[in-house]
Order: sequence, then structure tokens, then C-alpha cells
Amino acid sequence: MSVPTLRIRDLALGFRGWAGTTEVLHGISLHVRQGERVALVGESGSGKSVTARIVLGLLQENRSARVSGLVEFEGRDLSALAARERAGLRGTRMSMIFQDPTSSLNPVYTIETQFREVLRRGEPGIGREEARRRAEKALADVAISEPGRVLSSYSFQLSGGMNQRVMIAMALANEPSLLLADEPGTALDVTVQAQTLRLMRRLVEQHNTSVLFISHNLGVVREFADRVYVIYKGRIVEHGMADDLFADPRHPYTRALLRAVPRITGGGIPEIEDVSEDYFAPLVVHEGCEEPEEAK
Amino acid sequence: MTHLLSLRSVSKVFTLGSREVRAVENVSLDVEEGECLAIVGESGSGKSTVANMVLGIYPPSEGEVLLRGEALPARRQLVHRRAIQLVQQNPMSSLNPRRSIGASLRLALDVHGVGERGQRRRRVGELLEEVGLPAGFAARSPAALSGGQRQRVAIAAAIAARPALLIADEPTSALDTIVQARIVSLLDALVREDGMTLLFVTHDIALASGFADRIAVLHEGRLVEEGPAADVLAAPRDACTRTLVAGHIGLDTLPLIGEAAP
Amino acid sequence: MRRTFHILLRNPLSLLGLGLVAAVVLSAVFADFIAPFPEHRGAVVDFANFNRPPGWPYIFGTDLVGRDIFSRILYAFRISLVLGAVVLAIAVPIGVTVGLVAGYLGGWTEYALMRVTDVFLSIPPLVLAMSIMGVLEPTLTNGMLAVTAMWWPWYTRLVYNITRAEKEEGYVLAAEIIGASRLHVIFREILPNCVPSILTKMTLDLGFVILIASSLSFLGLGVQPPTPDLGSMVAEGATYLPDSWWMTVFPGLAILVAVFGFNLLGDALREILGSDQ
Repeated sequence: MSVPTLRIRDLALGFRGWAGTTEVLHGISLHVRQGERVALVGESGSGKSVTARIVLGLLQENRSARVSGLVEFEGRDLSALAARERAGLRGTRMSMIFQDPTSSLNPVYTIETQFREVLRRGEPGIGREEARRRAEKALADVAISEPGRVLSSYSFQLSGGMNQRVMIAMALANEPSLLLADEPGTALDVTVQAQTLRLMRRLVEQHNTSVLFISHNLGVVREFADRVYVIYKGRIVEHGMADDLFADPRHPYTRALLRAVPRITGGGIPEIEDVSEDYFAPLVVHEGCEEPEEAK
Repeated sequence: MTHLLSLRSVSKVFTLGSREVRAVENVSLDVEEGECLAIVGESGSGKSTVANMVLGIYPPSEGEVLLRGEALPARRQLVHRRAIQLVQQNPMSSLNPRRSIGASLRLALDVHGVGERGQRRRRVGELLEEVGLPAGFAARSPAALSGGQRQRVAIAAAIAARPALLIADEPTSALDTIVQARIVSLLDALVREDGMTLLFVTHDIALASGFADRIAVLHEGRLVEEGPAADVLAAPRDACTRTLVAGHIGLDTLPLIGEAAP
Repeated sequence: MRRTFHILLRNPLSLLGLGLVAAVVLSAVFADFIAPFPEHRGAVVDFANFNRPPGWPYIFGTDLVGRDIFSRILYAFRISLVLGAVVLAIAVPIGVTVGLVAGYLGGWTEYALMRVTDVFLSIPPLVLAMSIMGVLEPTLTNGMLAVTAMWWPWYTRLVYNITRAEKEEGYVLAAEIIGASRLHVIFREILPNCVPSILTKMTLDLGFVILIASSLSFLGLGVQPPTPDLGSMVAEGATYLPDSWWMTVFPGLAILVAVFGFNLLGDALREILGSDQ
């Protein structure tokens, strides 16, 4: 079996403050194989967003963060890499798209300038003309009909949906093996959201990119993910193939989460507990979803 | 029989520099006592503008807003304020960070002279418990509370003076799924038990479908559809409504993206 | 409270600021007990001991009429802090109120109030103080009046900017919807959110008031002899540099210590009050 693109084992995270250490992740394990779309589902404070930042190496720059556990990217232990090597992976071999597209783009530079910056990370010597050509092609790939106009624009001149597509194009420009997506589409209107997700799916299939998709929106996850991890207060509580998990949720927290999603078919208001001891029940793993063992 | 709230041909025009933006165009709507009306629309549909006009944040450019048959003045009096209250979207900014929860809750009681002065402290504790929080939270500052908890406090503050009409402007958009369900459940219970009228503004038609009696759909400032919730959802007549229903990504609908790449 | 200690301990400069300010304040308060020659703050002459370099018992030396410079510095601190406290006690309420009202009410009120503020801000502070002092008699009271007149607009500007931003926040809208009076919104909702910035500025200002007062006395305005003032002492001693260097250097260092200390403390305060989460 080939090496998974991303493998996380017993990842723990704590923040040291003046009142002691706050534990945010209590030893989570997950993996993403090549070409797979894996979702990490949880609510605020579950630890899902910090997990992505740890993979990118961004969180470790925070002085009060205490990280332990294994994060392996394409077989290489990331903590063993020098800071510069690790930074070199960002934007090239692994990239991320964020929740609010308009605020993630720099408003004082044109889209073209920012695109060129991204392309330069993958190909340091790239010329202006070549960069523009590739940027135009990338924008055309995300169904932007006037790439030239968009490239000359600033982020605040474009709609949220447009900015989201620009961000997706930029994230995939250097053909990364891993794409991290933090609640993409949350800031968009309902109609645009479906379009954007459809687009993302087509692109990652085309490039065979692995995706770690972070979301609290189960409807979106169901549409997009192959495999799902459910995270609650820093612990993985359920793990299964998307179809299995939605058809047969076994952990009490997953069940509550599914019941809480608004249904257009009506059916009144679901009865759910805010916090319950049951939510701390141990991990439930569906068949065929074990973590890969040590390659050594 | 007079409706509790009536909007008669209400329009709102905003002037931005040299441009004129017609945020709301000729909307007429009635809300009955004790019902829950959901106003649904995408961003830019004018739903928040309508809510703001009902609240008196700014007057309509055309038309009028009637409360129990009487037109509401542009400058609201205390008695009007007491009748119409608001739960805002953003729980992180709707509570004064420099005042305790208890102080924020007491404001409505003090302003409207609810109950005896000596009793108000106890009343604050009761309000907190009504929204599912411990009475001891009164001493805490907002920073110590989560988004969901803050929103509960905001609801408590809004119902403190027992308004006739409660307007909730996207109260759950900033909240997680489970928390959202709990807040909706709370609002629904308050409305049913206390006979309060609820005007629920949201972009999520599925959310409205769970508990609204009637749904009104706004699109680009106009009222495009209105009727009992079940009817609007089962057989939407307007194209915009159909788009909203079709675009909903949920667990009870067919996959939108589909297996084959388009 | 624990958080406060943590912030103070984390940054050695904060501790330094705290220490310097404590030294200045304690000197001022306990001058009567610390000063070896408390009577030298008044009109005392001792020509037998005049113009002595630093030594025992005159730690910082003596001035031209034989007064102990160290003792006079301690009393000068007292005068400076009193001056600072009085100036701020008058300037801050005025400036803050104007800023709040202008920022919240908007319209013509805002326009009128802020233009008046702009007029005061547009005149260089020292020039304004000097003009006022030139017209009035050079007494300590008038000195305080002059400094106050130029001080309040800075608070107005600070509070005005904060008010304009806070006005758009959800809690202000919530209070308005509930039906709170404008007075309540301004003073019970918005003002508490201005307090951290105001307190920080006040701390920094104590240092600056000392500096401005010293500048005024250096020019012969403000505090009059024989009352000890750091600026006057620097001025008197300046003509005798470099021979009797102690007459200028020590008062000058005292000004430096006070201003520096208040600056550092102000920064620490900003950190303590600002990040309240």
C-alpha cells in the first residue's frame, strides 16, 4: 500500500498561559491517501482548525503552543524538517484555502500580483508574461469567463464567489499533493456555495489532489467527502466512509450533530443536548477505516 | 381584527454619494399576534432592511409601519421600544465587553421600570434561567462566555421587558450546528409558551422550515412569495423561492454535486 | 490580577517603569522624611556651603545659594506631580466629555465641537501656554491653567475616535433598541470602553506634564522661585556649565527618570488594560 499523503498520529496540542496549560487536542490520529477527500467535522472549539494549521507548520510559530505527536507528509516527518524546508512546502506541495475569501486576499495588490507571488514559490525564476499566461489558464479552469479583467482587479472589486474561485485557483496553481480547506463556502450565498463545491471537486479529481476538508456543515461534507472524521473537544469520536457514517451514525455526538442539521422537509425542532456525557464516549471506527500502521 | 404588525407598501432608498440604492421595494406584510413569521432571502434581498425599519433604526422612505393599527413614528417613544425588541446576529459584539452580564440584562428592566427596583436583581437571575443559563452568570463578563451562551444572554435581554414582538435577525448564522439547533429550540419555546410574536430573519430556508408558521421570501428588495410554511416549501410558486429551496445543501436532499463531473 | 503580574513580570521594562514611577511618587510623598535638608525647598541661603560639588552630606551638590540639590529635586517632584494631577483632573473630564458628545451625537454638534478642538490642537502647545502665561501673571496657578488649556483637546481627539468606532458596535444598538437614553449610552455604555485608552494616556501624560512644566519654568514662566522646579533648576544651572555641572545635570536626569518611568508604565498599562480577553 502506498504511503499516505498525510498521516497524523497521536497529535496533541496545548497552549501555555498564565493560568496553566489549556489542552486543545488530546492525541488525534488521521490520514489522507492520495486523491482522497477526507473531511474533519466538528464545531467551534473542537480543534479542527488548529489541526490544519499544525500540518502547515503555522501554529508552531506561536510561542505558547506545545505540540507533540507525529505529522507525516508524503512519508516525511515534518517536525524533523528545518523551518525553512517546512516553509518551502507551503504553497507548493501543500496549500490551504480559507473561510472568508475576500479577507484572505490582500486588498492592496491586484490579483495578478498575488498570483505571480504564488507561482514564484513553485517556480522561482518565472517571468511576468509566463506567470500571467498561467494565471489566466488557472482562472479559466475555475470557470472565470474574463480572466484578464479579474487579474487586473483588486479583491474588494470582486464578489465573494469570485474571490473564492480565485483562491482555489491560487491554491492549486502549483499542483500541490495536499489541499487543506477550512470551511470553504461558508461565507458565500447558498446558490454560489453549491457551484463552488462542484468546481472544487472537479479540480481535485483532475489533479488527483488529496484534500483535508474542515467543516461544521454536514450537508456540505456529505456532498464532498469520501471519508469523514468527527472531532469533539479535541478527540476524534467517529471515523468512517462518508456513506457509512451518514447512513449509520454510531457515536452519540455524531448522531446529535446529524439531528441538528436543519431539514427542508420540516419535521420541527430536534431535541438535542448542548453538552452531554455521552459525547465523551470512546472512538467508533467503521469497517474498512483503520489507521495505517507504521511503515517501519 | 388588527394585525400586530403591518407593513404597508414600505420602501427604502439609500443614497450612497451619487448613487441611489433601492434596498426595499413596495413590501406589504402582516404579522399576527403569537405567530412566527420567517423572512427569508439571500444577502442583498433587503430582509435586514425591513427588520431595521420595523425596529425604528431608520424610517421607511415610502409607506408606513403599523403596530396594532397605529403608525409608528420615526422617533420611537419608550412605549414603542418596549413593544419591539431585537436579537442580533453577532453575539460577539452585541454585549458590552466592559459591563457584566447582569448589568446588561438590568438595563431593559431599569429603562422600562419592570417590577420593583429591589427585585430586579432576582429577576435577572430568573431571566438567565429562562434561557438555560445558571443565575450565577450575572456576575460574569461577556468575554467568559461562548458564542452560544452570549446569544442566550442576548435573548434574555430582549425578552426582559416582555415585548409583544421579538425580531431575530440571523441569530444563529454565527453559531455551530448543534448550538444553532438549541437556540432555535429556545426561541420556539419562548414564542409558544409566552405567546410572543417572532419575526425570524434568515438566509437559510431550511432553518425557517423547522419552526416558522409562515414564510415570506424577499428577493432584491421585493416580496416574491408569502404563505404558510408548509405550502411555500412544498410548492413554491416563485422562481427565487425554488432557487433557495433547490440550493439548500442538507442531509435530506439529493446530492447537488452528483457523481459525474459536469 | 494574576494576569497583571504575569504581564509585568514578562517584560523587564514594565518592572523598570513601575520602579521608576514608584521612586518618583514615593519621593514626592515622603520628601519631608527622605530629604536631608527639607528647609532648602524654601527661601534659605547658606553661602558657606554654596556651589559645592556632589559629596557628603550634599549628595547632588549645592546650588548658588547653598541649597541641597537632592532635597530640592524631591520637592520638585512633589510640585510636578501635583501640577500634573490638577491639570489632568480638569483637562480629562472636559476633553473626554467633548469627545464623547461630539462622537456620538454627530451632525452640527460634532462639527462645532471638533472645529473648536481643532483650533486648540493647531496651536503648538508650548506657544499656547506661553501666550497665556504672557498675558496672565506668572504664578503657579496660571501655569496650571495654561497647561490645562492646551491639554484637554488631546483627550477629545482620542475619545472621539473611539466613540465613532464603538457607536457602530452591536451593544450600542442593543441599548438604543431597548430604549436607553442618550446620556446612558454615552456615559454608561461607550465611556467604559474608552477607559483603558484614557488611563494609559493619563499615565503617559504625567510624564509629559512634567516636561512641559519644566519647559515653561525653564523659560521663566510657570513656577516661580524659591519654589523648586526641575525646569528652573536646569535653567539656573545652565549658565554655569561645565564647571558646576551638578546644578544642571541632576535636575535634568530627574526629568529624564520621571518621564521615562511614566512612559514605560504607560506602555505596560496599555498592555494590561488593552488585552482584556
